[in-house]
Amino acid sequence: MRTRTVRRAVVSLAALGLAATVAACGSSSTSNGTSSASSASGASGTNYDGMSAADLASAANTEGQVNWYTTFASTDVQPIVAAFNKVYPKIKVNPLRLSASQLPPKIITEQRGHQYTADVVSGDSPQLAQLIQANALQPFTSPEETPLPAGLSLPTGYKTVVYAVTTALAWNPTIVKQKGLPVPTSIATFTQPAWKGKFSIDPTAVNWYDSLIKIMGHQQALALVQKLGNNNPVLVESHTQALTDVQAGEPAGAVTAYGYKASSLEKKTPTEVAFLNTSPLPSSLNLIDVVLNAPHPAAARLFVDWMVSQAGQTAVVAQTNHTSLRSDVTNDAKVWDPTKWTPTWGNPTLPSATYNSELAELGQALHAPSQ
Amino acid sequence: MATLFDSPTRQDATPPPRTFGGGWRQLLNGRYLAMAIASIVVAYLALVPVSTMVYASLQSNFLGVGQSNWTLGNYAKTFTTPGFGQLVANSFVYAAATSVICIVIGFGLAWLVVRTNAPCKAFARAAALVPLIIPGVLNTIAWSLLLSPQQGPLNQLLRTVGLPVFNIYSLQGMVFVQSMHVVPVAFLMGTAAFSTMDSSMEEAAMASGASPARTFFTITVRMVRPAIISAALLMFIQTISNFEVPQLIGVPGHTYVFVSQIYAALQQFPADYGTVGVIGVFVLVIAVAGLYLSRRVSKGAGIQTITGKAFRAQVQDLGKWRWLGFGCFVLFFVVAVVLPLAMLLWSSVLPGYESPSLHALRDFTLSNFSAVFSQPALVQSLKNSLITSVSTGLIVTVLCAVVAYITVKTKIIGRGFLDGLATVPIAVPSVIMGVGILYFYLVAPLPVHLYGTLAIMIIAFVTITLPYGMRYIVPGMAAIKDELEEAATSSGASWFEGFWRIFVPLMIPSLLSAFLYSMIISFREISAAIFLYSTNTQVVSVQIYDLYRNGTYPVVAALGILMVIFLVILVVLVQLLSRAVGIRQRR
Repeated sequence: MRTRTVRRAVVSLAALGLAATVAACGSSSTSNGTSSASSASGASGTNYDGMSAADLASAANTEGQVNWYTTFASTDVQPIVAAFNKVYPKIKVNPLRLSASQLPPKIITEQRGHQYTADVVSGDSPQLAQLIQANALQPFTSPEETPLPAGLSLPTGYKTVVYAVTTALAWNPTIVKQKGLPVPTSIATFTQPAWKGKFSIDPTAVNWYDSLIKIMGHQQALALVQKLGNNNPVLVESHTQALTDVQAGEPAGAVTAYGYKASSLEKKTPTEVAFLNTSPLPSSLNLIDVVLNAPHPAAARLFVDWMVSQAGQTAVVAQTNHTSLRSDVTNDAKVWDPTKWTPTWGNPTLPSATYNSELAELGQALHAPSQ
Repeated sequence: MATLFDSPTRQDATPPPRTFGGGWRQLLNGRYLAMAIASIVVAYLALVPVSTMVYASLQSNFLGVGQSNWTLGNYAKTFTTPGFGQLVANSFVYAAATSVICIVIGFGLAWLVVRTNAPCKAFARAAALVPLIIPGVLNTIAWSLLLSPQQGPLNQLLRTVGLPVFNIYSLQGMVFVQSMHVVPVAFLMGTAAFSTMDSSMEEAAMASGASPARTFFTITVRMVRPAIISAALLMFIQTISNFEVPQLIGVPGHTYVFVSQIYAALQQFPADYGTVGVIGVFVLVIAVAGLYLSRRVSKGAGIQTITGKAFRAQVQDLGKWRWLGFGCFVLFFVVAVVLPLAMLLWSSVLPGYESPSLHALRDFTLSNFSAVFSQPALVQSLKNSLITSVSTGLIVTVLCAVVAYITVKTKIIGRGFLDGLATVPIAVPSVIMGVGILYFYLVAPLPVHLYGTLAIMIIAFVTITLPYGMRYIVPGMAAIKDELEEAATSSGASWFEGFWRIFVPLMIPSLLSAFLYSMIISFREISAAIFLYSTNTQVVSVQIYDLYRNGTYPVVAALGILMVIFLVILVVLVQLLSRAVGIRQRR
């Protein structure tokens, strides 16, 4: 009797499980709105770029969702989505959080397999440049976009900036004092023997290295990262993790800390995090673009418009402490003040060959896995 | 006794297989249809990732822009890359050292539990198996906090007592963390081997005047040698394919193994699939060679000493040393379970990570636990993990039951090949499995697109756990006498009715064990999932990794504690279910 009960339970479980599998498979494929090339945005013949804001919003509401591939920290993604949904409650945002270096392979691999899942992508400029070169994006000029900083240029249709990111030096003041370490005054401080093995660096920070090359010249920049590499750094790819490591006390310093995050943490825990902006200040852009054959072309454009609008930028700065290039949005003065720290921009359209060679050079200098 | 983790090895109690005669009409009956479907599914699951990896390794521009040609250039390039030798050396030392440590600890604990009168065996079993429940990524995070060179509380303790610190970010650190995680597998295999080993030879040795130590090393160890070799190989492959330890401990400390190289190759632009394919094939060849040698050695070593019936393993009296055995249980429990869980618990009740101290408790909070449920992405990933792991458990259990029937109870031509196919996934590291499946479902002209769905995750998890499911179900199937099925058939029952009413009830312990094991492994799997997730299909292990990389330790820790509680409850429930049907008494 009891055996029969168990058998029934097993059958019920099996049925439930298989139903769940089928439901999951079905719901995923439909809810994500993955499209193949044949059902791409252009196929309908609709000119989304020529639509008025109201028509675009209406079309986006009909589509009902947007798939957003992003490098925003996972904890920042949901509040930004919530801010968007306050304005557009009928559009479900499906975010996919990826590291900067994961972003291009993910989208390009999907597209090579004729899977067009992403609608919008936001990430660091070198990675977005790779996607442009691979023809994985589609041009879109947002009426909300702001002019690029002086001296920078991007191809027409790919000029929408989400934020500027600066790279600062960070350290744990309590540990630095406790261990008698020299307080960082420049990147070179971390090449001193006292700091050996006590700082972290991102071996994939090509945008930072590219800025450094502009600031110092190639040979000097390479020599500097080689010295850093020979001082046994801890390799941490995530800049956010690098800072929380500093906050926890080990390693005691970080060479490639993002200024916005360092400032946030310094405000919360001043005894555990301190940071320094160098001048010139290594800086780069984070861009947002519409992906080729986006399955939700109207929602994609609407999302980009919102993200670079004053409302979107205010939400981004309020939630993440990132730096907006819009003049009508107030930034954290400890992170961004071009009169104090002159930004030196990494090339936002870095050619693939240069990107790969700088990545390999940086990795080799820091004794990272060969790339 | 039948418990969740009992008897994951095959026994020799296999009854003589039977042939099926009859005309072509028989091919259409339920038995043959079920068998045919199961065979096709197993062949498909085993061959897809392997063949895709081989294909990618032989293409000049796999998934790239422009034309791709057949080439051996990827092999030449990878094998001549500076540092490849070091990579191979690191990988082998890492995996081999882990295997050796796990064998010593896992088989040592198993021997104490099964073959000695060391006290508190129930506690010992729990102590040895709980690490299996702690997801690997959480275990790795916990140890990296416990043993970070300067601030890690254990290293601070070592420094206080004047001992040298242990740098977790080293090859030794990798071996230690991975060993703590994989010991339960060795324990399970050791338990099965010692439980089914005839102790008459040991008794004879003792009667001839051999000391207990001499008897142990000259008789006991030799008799379980096949199981040791089998376990060592399994752990070697599991370690080679492990993702979290190389990424979270190896890379920061500049110790690179195959997985770090694969991950680095996938992050290039464009992704270097050729190198990934070559490393995958390289590992596969080594694993297959290891499996082949393991089987040969097992045959030569006289596996007939390990049987499943008709005797009880003799328990050895350890005298006053029995408490030393108990001390071993406690020590392992403290190191492998208490310390990492305590570190997770500590991290989960603070707003930001701080080294353990009374002073830090001023910031005590439970908000991280509520944060787990307030993040829609996390809740979604929990749901996804639940769906994928339960589905995997069910599919593996059903599939393995049918395949085990074919390989154990029939004489169908090709059953040996089918058995081999079901074992192949053991030789494919999970990380390669993930990449291979990703490739295939992106490029294959299938009528249904599975990329971006949970189905592709389930396929990967089923493939990964299939061999383990077989290890639980085959012995259970072999132990059932043929007469029962014959009686059912002669009473007019169809094959399906016979299978359902005879085999299933008698095999419930094995089926539940297979279900639970494959479910737990799927729930915590990350090595393959990291390559397969998309929007709305993130699973909880990937979320944990991502949150950790974003520095959100406290929420990660809170999530980890909740996951462990959930899995423990699940295991206990299944155990209770087993007891409810009197399985323990029956066996």
